[in-house]
Order: sequence, then C-alpha cells, then structure tokens
Amino acid sequence: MSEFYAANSLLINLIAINAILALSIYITLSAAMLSLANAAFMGIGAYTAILFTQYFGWPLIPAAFVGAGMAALVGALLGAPVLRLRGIFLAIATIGFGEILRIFILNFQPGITLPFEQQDYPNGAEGLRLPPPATTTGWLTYGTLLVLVYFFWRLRGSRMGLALAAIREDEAAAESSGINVTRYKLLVFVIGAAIAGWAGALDAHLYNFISPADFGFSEAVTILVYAVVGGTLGFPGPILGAALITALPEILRPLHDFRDIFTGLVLLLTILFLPSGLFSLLGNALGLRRRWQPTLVQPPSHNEDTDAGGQFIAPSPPDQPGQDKSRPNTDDPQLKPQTSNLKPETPLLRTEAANRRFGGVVAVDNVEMSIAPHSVYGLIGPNGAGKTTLLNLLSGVLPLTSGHIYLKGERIDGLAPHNIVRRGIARTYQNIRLFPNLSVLENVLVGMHSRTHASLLQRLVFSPTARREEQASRNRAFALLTRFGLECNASLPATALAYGDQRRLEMARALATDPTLLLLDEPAAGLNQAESERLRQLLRELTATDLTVLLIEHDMALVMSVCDRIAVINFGRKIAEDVPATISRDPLVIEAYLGSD
Amino acid sequence: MNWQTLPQQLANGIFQGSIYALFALGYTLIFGVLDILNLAHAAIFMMTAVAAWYLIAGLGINFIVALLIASIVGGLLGVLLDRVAFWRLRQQHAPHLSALISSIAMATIFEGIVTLLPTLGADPDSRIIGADVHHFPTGSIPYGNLNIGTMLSLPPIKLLVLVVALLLMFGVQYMLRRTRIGREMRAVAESPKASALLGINIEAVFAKTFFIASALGGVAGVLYALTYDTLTADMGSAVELKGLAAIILGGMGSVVGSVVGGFIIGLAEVLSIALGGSNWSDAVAFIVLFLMLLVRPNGLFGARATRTG
Repeated sequence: MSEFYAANSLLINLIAINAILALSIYITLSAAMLSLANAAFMGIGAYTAILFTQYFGWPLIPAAFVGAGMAALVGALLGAPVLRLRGIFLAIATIGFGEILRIFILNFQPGITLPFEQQDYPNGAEGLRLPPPATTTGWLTYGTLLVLVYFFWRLRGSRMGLALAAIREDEAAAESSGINVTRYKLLVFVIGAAIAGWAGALDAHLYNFISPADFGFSEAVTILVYAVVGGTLGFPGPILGAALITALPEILRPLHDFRDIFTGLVLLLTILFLPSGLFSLLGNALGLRRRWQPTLVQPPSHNEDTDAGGQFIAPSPPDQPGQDKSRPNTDDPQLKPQTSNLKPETPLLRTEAANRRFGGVVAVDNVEMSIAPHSVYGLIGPNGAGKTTLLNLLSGVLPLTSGHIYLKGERIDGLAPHNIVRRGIARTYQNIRLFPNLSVLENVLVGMHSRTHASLLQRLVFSPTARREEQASRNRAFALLTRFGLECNASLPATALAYGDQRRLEMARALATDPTLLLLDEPAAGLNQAESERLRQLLRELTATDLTVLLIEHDMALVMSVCDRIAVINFGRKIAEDVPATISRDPLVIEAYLGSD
Repeated sequence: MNWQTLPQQLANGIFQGSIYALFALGYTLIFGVLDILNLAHAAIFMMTAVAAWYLIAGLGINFIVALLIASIVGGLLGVLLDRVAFWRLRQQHAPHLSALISSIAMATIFEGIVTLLPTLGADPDSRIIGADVHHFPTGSIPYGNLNIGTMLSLPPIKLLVLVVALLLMFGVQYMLRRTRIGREMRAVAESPKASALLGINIEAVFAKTFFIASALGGVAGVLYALTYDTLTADMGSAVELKGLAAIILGGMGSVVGSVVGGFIIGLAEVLSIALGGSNWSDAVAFIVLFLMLLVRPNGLFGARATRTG
C-alpha cells in the first residue's frame, strides 16, 4: 500500500485536492450561483500561503489557514457588489475578476525576495519554485476532504441547507418566506472562496511549483466540469466527478492524442444524457437515490409525535368544518394571539399616501389604507387596477416611490422582504410560487426559517438544542399540513400536487412564518367549486383566530361572505371603502366593474 | 506618451477592434436569438482559420477565395455545433448552465480534433496544435506597408480586414432590419414560443442563426490569422474573453453594441500599451467589463438582461 502511495502520491493527492475544489464550486451552485472565480481564489490561497511558508517560515497548516482567510476576505469584497448579478452575468463577472487577478499576479512587484533561489515574489509568469520535499501530505489532503464531507453531510437538512435549497428553487419566494437571500448568497460565496483558497495552498505545496497560468480561465472551467460531470444534486457527485476526471488521463494514457477529445466527449455525453451527473447513475444502481436527492428532511415517524404531543393538532375532519369555529386552536403556536396587547382601535396596518410609479405609469396612487386587527380586509378592483402592486409594496417586494407603511405603529417601508416577514407579514402569490423540487413538508419548513435559530455550527456538533428545534419544527409543519389536509402528501415534491393543493400548500407555507397579517393574492383563482368552498372554510377557520387577513380576490361571493371591510381600487386609486353590504351597492364600484353607460 | 505615434496607435486599435467586433457579432447573435453563451465560438474561430490555412497553404487557392470558402465551413461547423450540443438540451428545456457546459465540451472536442489533423509541407512531425506556430506560404498574402506621411503606415491586409469587417457588420444590420430571416430572428429572440405559434419554423431559424453567427466568427478567425500571419490551436483564447468583454460592454444581444464594444476594447487595449502600461493592457478589457457589469449590466445598448417570455 505504501509503495503504491509512494509511486502515485502526486495523483492520489491531486484527486483529493480537485475534489475539494469541486466542493468549493458545488456550494455556490447549491444556491444557484454559477461562479467561475474559484480558480482565482485558489490562486490567492496559493500565493498567500507561499508567502507565509517561504518568507516567514511558517508551517504549511497555519499558512494554509491564512491563504484560505485571504481568499475569503477577497471573496467577501468581490461578492458584496457582484452577487446582485444573476445567471450568466454573474458567471461573466467572475470570469472577468479571475482574469484581472491573474494579470495582477503576473505584474505585481512588491519587492519581496524569497530565500529559496533568491526568487522575486510573486515572480510573474516564471512562477515560483519551492524547496523540496513537498509538505502537502495525504493526511492533509484526505483529512481536509473528510472534514468537508462531514460539513456537507451536516449541512444537508439543516436550517441553512434548507434555506440554500429554497434559494436555488425560487429566490423571490425564499425571500418572502423570511430568508435573508443576500446574506446567504454572500456567506456561501465566501465559504466557497475559503475552500478554494485552502485547496490552492495545498496544491502549491504538493507540486512545489506554481505560476499564474495555473489559475486562469481553463482551470476555472475544469473545476466547474468536475462538479457537473459528477452531479450537483448532492455532495458526493462533485467528489466523484473530480476523482474520475483527474484519474482519467492516467487511465487513458494509451489513448495519447485522443485524450482531449475523450474528455470533451465525456462532458458532452454527461450533460446531454445524464444531466444529474454520473453520481445519479451510480446512485440508481446502488439504490441510493432517495438518500441523496434533495429530500432534506424525513417526515417524523409516529412514535416521535408523542414527544411533542402538545404541539400536534389532531387533523380536523373536513366533513365537520363547522366545529372549528367553536374550538379555537390555542394549542397551535401558529395561531396564538399576537395582537392581543394592541388596543382594538389601533390599526394593525396603515399606509400613508402610498405611491408607486413605473416610469410615467402611476400604479398605486396615494393609497390610504387602514386594516383593523383580527379583521378580514378585502381588496377588489378590475384587472390592472394596482392591487398586486399594492401587495408587493406591503410585502417589501417593491419599494414605494413615496409614502409610508406602518405595522403596529412601526414603519416597515424600506425593509427587505425577509425582515417584513420577521415583523409578521406573510404573503402568497397570484401565480403560485412554491419550491417545486422540495417536498411538501420542506416547503412548509422553509416558511419557519425566520422563527427558528439553530445555527450550522450547532448542527455540526450535534447540539441537542438544535435537534429539539428541528423536531419541534417538523411537528409544527406536520400540524399545519394536517390542518390543510396535505399531511398524506408530505413527502411528495410540491410539483406533484394538484393545483388546488398547491394553492393550499402556499398558504400553509405563509402561515408557517407565524404572521399576524396574511396577504392573499387571489387564492381562489383557478379553483373549482369544491376547492373554492374548501378555501372559504379555511379562511373562516383562520380568521376565527387572531390572524388578520388582506384578501385580493375576484370571486365576489367569497369576498362578500368573508370580509369585514372591502376597499375598491381602480387606476391605482382607492375609490371606495366600506362594509361589504354598502360596497356592493356603491355606484362607483359598479361603474368600475361594469363600466358606465 | 509619444504623440507622434498616436495616429498609428489609433489605426492599430481600429484594426484590432474590427476583429473583436466581428467575433463579438457572432457571439451576440447566438446569445440574442437562443439565449446561449456559446463558449465554442472561439473554437469555430480557430477551426475556420485552420480551414483557410489548408486551402491557401495546401491547395494554393487565392486567399480571398479561401476566405469565402472557409466562412461557409465555419457556418456549417456552427450548424453542426447546434445539432450536437444544443438541440437535445432545447428539447429537454434544460437550464442555461447546461448549454454553457455543452459548449465548453464542444470547444474541447474541436480543439482535440485539430491536434489530430495532419500537417502540410516539410515537417511531418509537427501538427497544427500546441507550441507550433504556422505561417502562410510566402507570397500568398500581400503583406507590406502603405505609408501615409511619416506618421502612419497601413498594411493593405489590415485595410482589407477593416473593409471586410465593416461590410459584414452593415450586412448583418441590414439583414436583421430588412429581410425575412432577420425579422424571424428578431421575433424568435423576443419569444420562441410565440414565434412558433405564429408559424415560424424556429428550429430553422436557430440553424440559420448558428450558420450566420459562426460564419462571422470564422471570418474573424481567418482575418486574425492573416493579419498576424500566425496560426495556432489556441488562437481562440486570444479573442474568447475579449469578445465576451465586447458584448457585455455593448449589451448582450445587441448587434450595434457588440460592434461598438469590440472597437472600444481594441482601442482601449492598444492605447493602454501606448500609455506605458503594456503589462497591464490585457487587464484593461476586464476592468472595463467588470465595472460595466456593476454599473450597467445591460451594457451600452442592451435593453433587456435576459429573455422574458
């Protein structure tokens, strides 16, 4: 064994280093960010670590920490402006950064001379030679890989892991489910940079030679290829991809000149015929698929329920909906009074001359609105009147052009959507925005993000507090699903649900954020008679508790039967507001809906 | 800087820029119509130059005729690329990332194929690829200088490059605005789904787009090789990222923008050398690109970031 290692140590260690690099891009990909800066971060780690080992005489491990730290620092500085960009634009910006950095290293002359062979640092295109022997060992490379495997294994299914999955599926929906998308993206970008920097330090001290050419565009692409060929559905994919592609040229040595073509073909065939990567193939063959697929959380088994029985609501039989009104679910933490300390006359939500323009179009025009606590406030008006825009203003998705919004007397305009969720406003979307590939249960769990706290660190050390929180979250999520009649489908992906069920799941997710005010954007749209009736039932149940609801809806029968007050919007202006009986007779409203003669 | 050399530097910048612009034009057409960042464009740039080299050095064909034939080869390579690398992904509605990766795969395969092509002439061991630099046979291309005063010398081959590049740019603009295929391309760029519903054969439009874009990229490759009398397997990498910078600068998907962007990158590069920072000149394009993305990701002429419908 040791003879084999001695003969092949370079390749064996290289496999581990490339696997580490593949994981560094996997973590950014897992939040749907395509960054091609990881080769540059690798270079930063390598050159920084060399400065510390060769000039200051540090041992490799602390020097590698400094290298990784430096890469993380640059990652944070780069990420702050760049992560606003999406998709291909982010990729191109990171390519640009990589080239700038490579040219910087080529030309940087700080006047430092390294003792070994009196080399200038960083010595431009000639690169740096390090004194033998190589200080990167198999213990270090595979030790790192093990640590990372542990990290990614614990990340999967953690609060943070679920947040990343939600961001990957739908950024806007993640934000309005209470996830600080910007912060998580930056965090993930910085973690990726640190991992790549660490790998760079190890790589430099394995070869004992580096030059700027090693960290250019083609290396950036190679790192991406590792991850994609292996598969990005789970962390074993990138490791497998890196191992295969690193070993392939050795295995293919008899192919000589055909090697490039062969590598290209492997990549092409993978992306065309196996878009989930080689690991999905292996996973299928071994029956591992379920375990590594994005089902991040297992539903609680029934004996676990007894632990948290107090929080678990018995399913309410759908054929006896009338009972719910008489039996407020005080056991449900979701629906515990939130507004009881508010005087009834204080409005829960108030807008003050809310304005929103799109260029010359005034979509919301000086709307003054005041929603009393515990009420159902209806918002009606013709299509294009500005109802959804108003809802986007309230939920922070769009900024106001002018005016203010107050929740319980505190200004909330200008807050990011996830902060507004934290303050107690949840919403649904007119054209349902679920996390399609997450399970039904996970969709609801994502909604609990802003009400849970377990850090990844706690999870890494198996903290009992974190475990209890996870357990409690799962039980609460199940309780909500049960309430909405979705508990049987908990482990299905959200896309597998029927349309009406998807609507209800989105409401369940919104309720999971524990709101005091729920904004519903046309919840009855597209529902059939039976589903619509079920929705009416649900709305009644919800409003029997302390929840306040703002309802945008075209189904007039529904609006008239559940709302306490109704506001009518036309051309961005509020043209009427009153109790349902009066609104239905208002000539202005009739004109807005039916037109005047 | 030496003001005596300024006219010459400007001329060089325009020559350099016209090649970038031509390359970027093809890049941006494919992005505009298909929403694909085609990283194999640089490989087609190189393959077409290789084809022209075979025609000129191997068969002794006049270089202008060779340019025409090679551009058709480039266009056909583009159609092949689309069929092999992107067609299946379109059918599966694969994410953007997949098309990017498959274009990288095709670039690798193309470059791999070129390494296997037999060489011509005296040295049977040398292949086109690798460290080997290939030149055009003496006399086949009119190299030389046309001196204007003492300050400016314009090689005829570079003037030819400029003329061909400008003609093609105006030609593309005319095609997009005034011809049926141009209208179809713009419609598909706006919304493939709606175009298909209106009876446009979108697969045919995609194929035509790839043919035109790749022919343009290929012509850029031949002109690049002719200008510098050099042919290497990695010549694509010299323009790949510069072309990217040009289309970002001009606005992804904007035809005028890519041309203007190409000229700006060419001029910026040459002028930064003239200003004394020759080591840093390569960085200029990317600093411009980087700042542009942060300040105005839609570029100078871009109206939309990505396809909406």
